[in-house]
Amino acid sequence: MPEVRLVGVSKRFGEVVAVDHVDLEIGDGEYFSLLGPSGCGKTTTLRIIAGLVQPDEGEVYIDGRLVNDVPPEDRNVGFVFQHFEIFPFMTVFDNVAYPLRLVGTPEPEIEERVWKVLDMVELRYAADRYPRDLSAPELQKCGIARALVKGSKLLLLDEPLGALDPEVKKKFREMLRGLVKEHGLTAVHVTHDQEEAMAISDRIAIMRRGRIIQVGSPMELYLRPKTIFVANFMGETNFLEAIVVSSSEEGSELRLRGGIPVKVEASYPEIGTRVILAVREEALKTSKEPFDANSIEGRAVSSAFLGRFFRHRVELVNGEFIKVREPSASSRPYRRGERVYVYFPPSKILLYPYPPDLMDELSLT
Amino acid sequence: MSLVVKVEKRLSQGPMPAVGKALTLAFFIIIVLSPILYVFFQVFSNWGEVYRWVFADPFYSKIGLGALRFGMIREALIRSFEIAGLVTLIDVIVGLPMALIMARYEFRGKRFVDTLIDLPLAVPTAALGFSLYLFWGTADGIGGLLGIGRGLFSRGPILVILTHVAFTYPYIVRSLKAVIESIDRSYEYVARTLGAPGFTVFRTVTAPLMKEGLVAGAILSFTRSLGETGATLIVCGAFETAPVLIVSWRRMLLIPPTAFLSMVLIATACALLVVLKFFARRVGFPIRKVWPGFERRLSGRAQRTLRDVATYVFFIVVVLIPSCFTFLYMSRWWAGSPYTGARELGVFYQVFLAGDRKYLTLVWSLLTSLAVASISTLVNLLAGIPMAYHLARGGWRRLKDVIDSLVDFPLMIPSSALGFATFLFWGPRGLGVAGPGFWLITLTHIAFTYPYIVRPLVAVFESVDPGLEEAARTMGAPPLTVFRTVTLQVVKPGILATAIMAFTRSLSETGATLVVMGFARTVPVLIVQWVESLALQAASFACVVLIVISYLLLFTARRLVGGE
Amino acid sequence: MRCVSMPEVKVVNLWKSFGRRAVLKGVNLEVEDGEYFVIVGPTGSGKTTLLMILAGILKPDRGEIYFDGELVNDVPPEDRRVGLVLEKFALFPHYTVMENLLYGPVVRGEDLGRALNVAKEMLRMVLLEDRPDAMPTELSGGMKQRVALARALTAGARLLLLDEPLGALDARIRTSLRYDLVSMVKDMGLTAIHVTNSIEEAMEIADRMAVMRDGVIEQVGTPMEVYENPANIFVADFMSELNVFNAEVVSTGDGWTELRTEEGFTLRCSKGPLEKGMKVLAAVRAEDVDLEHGLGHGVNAVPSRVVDVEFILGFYRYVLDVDGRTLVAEEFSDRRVFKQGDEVTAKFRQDKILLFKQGRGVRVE
Repeated sequence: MPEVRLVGVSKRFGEVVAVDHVDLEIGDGEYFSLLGPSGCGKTTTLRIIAGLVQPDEGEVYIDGRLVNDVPPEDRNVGFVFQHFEIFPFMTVFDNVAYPLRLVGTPEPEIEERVWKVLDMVELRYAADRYPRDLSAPELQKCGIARALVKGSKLLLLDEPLGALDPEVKKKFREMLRGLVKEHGLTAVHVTHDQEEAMAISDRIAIMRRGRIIQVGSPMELYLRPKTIFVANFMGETNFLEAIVVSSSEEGSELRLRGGIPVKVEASYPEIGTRVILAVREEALKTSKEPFDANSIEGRAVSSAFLGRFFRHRVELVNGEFIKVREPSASSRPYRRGERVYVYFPPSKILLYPYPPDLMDELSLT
Repeated sequence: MSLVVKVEKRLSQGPMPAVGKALTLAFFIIIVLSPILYVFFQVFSNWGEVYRWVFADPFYSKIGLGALRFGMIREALIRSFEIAGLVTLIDVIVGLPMALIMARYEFRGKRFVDTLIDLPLAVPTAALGFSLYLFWGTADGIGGLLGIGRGLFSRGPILVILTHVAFTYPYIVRSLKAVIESIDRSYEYVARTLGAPGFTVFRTVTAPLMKEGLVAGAILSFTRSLGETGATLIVCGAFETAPVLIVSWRRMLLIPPTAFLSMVLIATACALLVVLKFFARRVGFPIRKVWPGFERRLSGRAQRTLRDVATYVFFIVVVLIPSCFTFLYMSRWWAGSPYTGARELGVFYQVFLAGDRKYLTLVWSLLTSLAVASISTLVNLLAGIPMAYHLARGGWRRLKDVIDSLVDFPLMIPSSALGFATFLFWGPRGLGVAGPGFWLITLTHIAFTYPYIVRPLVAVFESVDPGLEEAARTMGAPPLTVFRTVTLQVVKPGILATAIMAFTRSLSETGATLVVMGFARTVPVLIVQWVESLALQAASFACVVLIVISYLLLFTARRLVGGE
Repeated sequence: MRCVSMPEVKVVNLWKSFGRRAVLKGVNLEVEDGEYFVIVGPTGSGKTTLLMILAGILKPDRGEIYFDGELVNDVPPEDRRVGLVLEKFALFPHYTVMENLLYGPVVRGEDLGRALNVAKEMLRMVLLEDRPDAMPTELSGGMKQRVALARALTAGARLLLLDEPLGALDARIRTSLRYDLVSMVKDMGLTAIHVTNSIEEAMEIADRMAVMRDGVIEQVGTPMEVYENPANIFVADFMSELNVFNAEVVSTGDGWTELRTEEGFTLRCSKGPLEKGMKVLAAVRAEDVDLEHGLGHGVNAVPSRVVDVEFILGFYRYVLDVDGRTLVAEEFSDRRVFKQGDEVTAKFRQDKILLFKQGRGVRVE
C-alpha cells in the first residue's frame, strides 16, 4: 500500500513559483489534507503527485517507487475532481466501468465491481442515467465511484466538495472518510476550507505561496499554530499587540496597548520586546461581572446568533476590537454599548514575535 | 479492447508523438503553403518574363502603353480594396443589429430565422451572383415588380457591392452573434442598475467587450469580399476586380502576368491583415463620454422596434430574396418564356430536351463536384483533426501562433489566386504531378477547404474541458486512447458539422476551380459557362439543384451542432 | 454619512417560470427600511431569480413589487435606484477602479464634481483609496468585491441587492469579510437584500432572514426565531444538524408527551397535550445531545457506539451508531472525551426536542 513522498519538489509557471521546494511524507492509510488559500500551490502539488504536471525539480515517490518519469496512466491512483469530470456521453455505469474496460477486464467481473462500488456511494439507482440528469452530489458520487473501482490504494481529491452546497458537504465528508478508512486507502485531499480539513483529516499540511508552513494533526495545528498566518487561517483568532514585562518558567506577564496587564502560561524570555498575543475566539469568555484575573473591560458592539453559538464583538477599553464565541446555551446576546468583561484564559494564549510586516502575516492569501 | 489500448500506448510513447506532429505539419506545408509560396518563387525566378509582360509589353509599347497590364493590375486592386472596404462597413452596420437580435431575443420561429440567415452560405457563389443579377439587373427581377421594364442596376460596381454584402452577411452575423453570446450578461445587468439606458449599456459596456470579436468579424468580411471570385465574375461586367482579372488572364493563358497579379494580391492581402490586426488593438470607442438625455431617447421601445424592423427589411430585401431568386426565375421560365411562350426558351426544354443533352452534363458535373468535395473533406479531416488538436492543446509551443495564422492563409487569399497557385505548383510548370482536370481541382479544393476544417475544429477542441482528458489519464488511458475514447466522443457532433460545412464550401467553390479545371467541370463552373453562353434557363436549373443540396447539408449541420 | 429616503420593499404573490419550469411560486416578502435581509436556501431554490426581478432585469409572470409603497413592476432597471453586487463582481474590465465607481453618476448625467467626492469617500471606506487607477484585473477577489460594493454605493443606490457576494472567495476570507460588508452597509443606513446558500453566513449577518426552497419562502424571522422555532422539518434540518426519529405519541399530558420511536426508544418532550397515537417526526439538534460513558437506557437516553470523531474549531462532533442508524452529537470543549469505538449514552435535552407532523413536516405547536 502506498505511502507518498515528495522531496524538494518545485514548479514554476513562467515567473510564478507555484510550488517551492516542498518536502512531504504521507503514511499508509492516512487521510492527509493540503490546506491553504487560493494560489498557494496545493492543487499543483496534488497534480504533481498524479503526474498531470511535471515538476521542475525534486522527486516524487509512490509506494517507495520513483515515479517522476511515470505517466499518469501508469501511476494507479484514483483522482476525484472539483468539477466531477464525468464523461457526458456515457451513462453512470459506463463511466464507472471505464477504467476497468481500459485494461480488458472481462464483463462479468466489471459488472460485479461496478455494482459494488456504486453501492458504496449509494448510487446504484442512477446507474442508467446520463450526467446531464444528475445533481451535483450525484455527479460527485459517480466521480468517487469511478476513482475507487480499479482498487487503487491512493486516492487524490482536488477540492472534491467545492461545488456542493454547504449542507451536503457534511454528509460527503463522512462518506469519504468512511470509505477511505474502511478500505485502508491513503487519501490526499486538497481544500481551502479549514473546517473541512480539520473534520476529515488525520494530518494537515498548511501551504502558503508555494511553501509548506506547518504539518500536523488538526489538534496540533489548532493548539500550536507555528505562525500568525496559521493561527489566523485555522479559525477566528484575536490578535493584540503586547509588550513582555516579565517571564519565567511558570509563565509571563504582558502589557497590552493602553497598559492592560495580562498573564499567560507561555514563557517568553525576551523581556521588553513587542509581541503579538493570539487567542481564539472560542477560548474567551464574557460576563457582566469582572473575572478574578485576566479580566478586560469593554463595550459590546454586536452579538450575532449563530445557532449553537453567539459571536460577540467587543471593543476593549484600549480601543482594540475582539471577537468572542460562546455556546448559546451558556450565553446571551448583549446590547450595543453594554459593558462586558472578557476573560483571557492564560493557558490558551499564544505569543509570537512581532513580524516585520504584520498586515502581510494577517493577510489570508 | 485491451489490445487496441496497448497499441495506442506504444504510439503515445517515445518518438511516435513527435513523428505524428511532424507529419501533420508536413502535410500542411506541402499541400497548403507550398503552392502559395511557389507563386512568389515563380515570379522572382522568371522575373524577366514577368517584367516584360507586365511593364514592358512589346506589343503595347508600340503605342506607348508598355505598362498597360500593370495599370490594369493597379486599377483592379484599387477596385477590389474599395469594394471590400465599403462592403465591410455596410456589413458591420447592418449585421450588428441582426446579431443582437439573434443573440439576445427569444421568439417563436427563431430557429427558423437562424437557418434563413445561413442561406447565402448554401448558395454557391456563382449561383449567388447569377441570382443577384437576375434580381437586380433584369426585367424579371425587382425592375419588373416596380414596373420599370428593365433591371434596377446593370452589371458594375453597385451590383458587385450588393452581391458582396449578401455573400458576406452570414459570416458577419454568425461571427458577431458568437461574440455577443460569449459576453457575460452580468456586466450589462449591473450597468443597467447603475442607471444606464439600453443604448448606453451597449456603447459603453457591450461594445468595448466585443471589440476584438468585432474586429475579427470585420476582417473576415473584408477578406471574403477581397477574395470573392465566382459571383463577382457574373455581376461585374467591365468593372473587373483583381480576382476576376486573374480568371480572365488565365483563360487567355497569360501566365506570367497572372502569376504577378496573384503574388501582388496575396502580398497585399497579408500586409493589410497584419496592419489591420495591429491597428485594431489601438482602436477605441468613445467610452468616456456620455450623452444621457440623447441616449435615453435612443433606447426607447419605439426606437428599438424601428431598428429591428429595418434590420429585418434589409435582410429580406437585400439578402434573402435576391439569394434565392433563382427559384422564382426558374419557376417562371419552367415551361417556356413568360413573355413569348416559346417552349424552346423554357428551363425544361433547355435542360432535358435540347440536342446538347445538358442534363447529362449536369449529372456529370454533379458527380464531379460531389467526388471532389468528398475526397477533399475526407483528406482534410484526416490531416486537419490532428493539426487542430495540436493547435488547441498548444503543441509546438512558441511556433503555435505562427502556425495558427498561417492556417488562415488560404482564407485570406482570393480563391482564383489560390487556384492559380495550385496550378503553378502541381501543374506542368511546377512539379508536373497533374495537369488541369479532376486531380488538380481536387488538390486545389484540399488546399482551399483546409482552413474551413481546421479553424472551427480548433475552437471545438478548445471547448473540450481538459479536465475530462485528465480524468481519463488518471484512470489509466494513454494519451492516444484518451483522444479516441473521450475527446473525439465529446466533439463528434462538432466534427460532423464542420465536415459538412467544408463539404458544402467545396461544392460551391467557383473561382479557384475555374482556374484549374481543364475539361472537368464542377457544377459552379458549369453555371458560369452557361451564363456566359446565355443559356440562363439551364443555369438557373443547375443553381437550384446545387442550392437545394447545399441547404439540406447545412441544415443538417446546424441541427447537429444545435442539438448539443 | 447617511442616505435619505430608503425604500421599504414589498413583494406580493410573485410567480415566474422559465419555459415549463416554475422557479418562483407565489413569493411574498416584506423588507423594512434599513434592514439587512438575507434570503437563504439551497441552489436552485429561486433566490437569484427573485433578486433579478427586484432589480428589474427580469419581469415576473404574475405579482407586484413595491418600493416605498410605489408599484415598480414597469419601472426599468436604470430608474429603480438599486445597487447590484454579484458573485463574480462584474467590474467593467476596460475601466479603471475610479471609472467603475463613477459609471453610475456619469450615465445619469449627474454633477461630476459631487460624484467624484462621493466616489473618493467610498474608496476610503472600503480601504482602497490608494488604488483609484488600478484596472480590475490587478485586484484580488476581496478587493474586487469591495469595489463592486463601492460602485453601487457611489451610484446612489437606496436598495442593495447582493447575490452571493462572497461566494467566489476562499472560505476563510468569506468569514472575515462578511462582518465588514454588513458594517459598511449599516453605517450608510441602506436597506439590503443578500442572497446566499450558507446558513452560517445568513445567521451572522441578518437582521431578519427568509428560508427559501423550490420557489417558495418557507419561513421568515430573525435568525434566533427561525432557529429556535422552525416552521417545518425542512427549515429545522436546513438551519442546524438534526437527528430525526419517526415516532408515535404514546401518552400525553399538560406540558409533556411521551413518544415511542420506530427503533423502540422512548422520548419525552415538553409539549402537550397532544393526540394519542399521532405520528410525528421527533427531532433533536446535535448540540442538544449530551454524551456520557456507558450504555444507559431510559427516557431520552439511547445507547450507542462512537463511530467517528471530528474536531472542528473548538468543538467536537461525534458520529454515533445506534443499531444501524446514525446519530450526531456536538460537544463544546477542546478536550476530547470520547474516542472511536467507545460505548456511550446519548441523552436528549427534553425541552429541546422538536415535533413535526409526518408528511409535510409542519411543526407541531
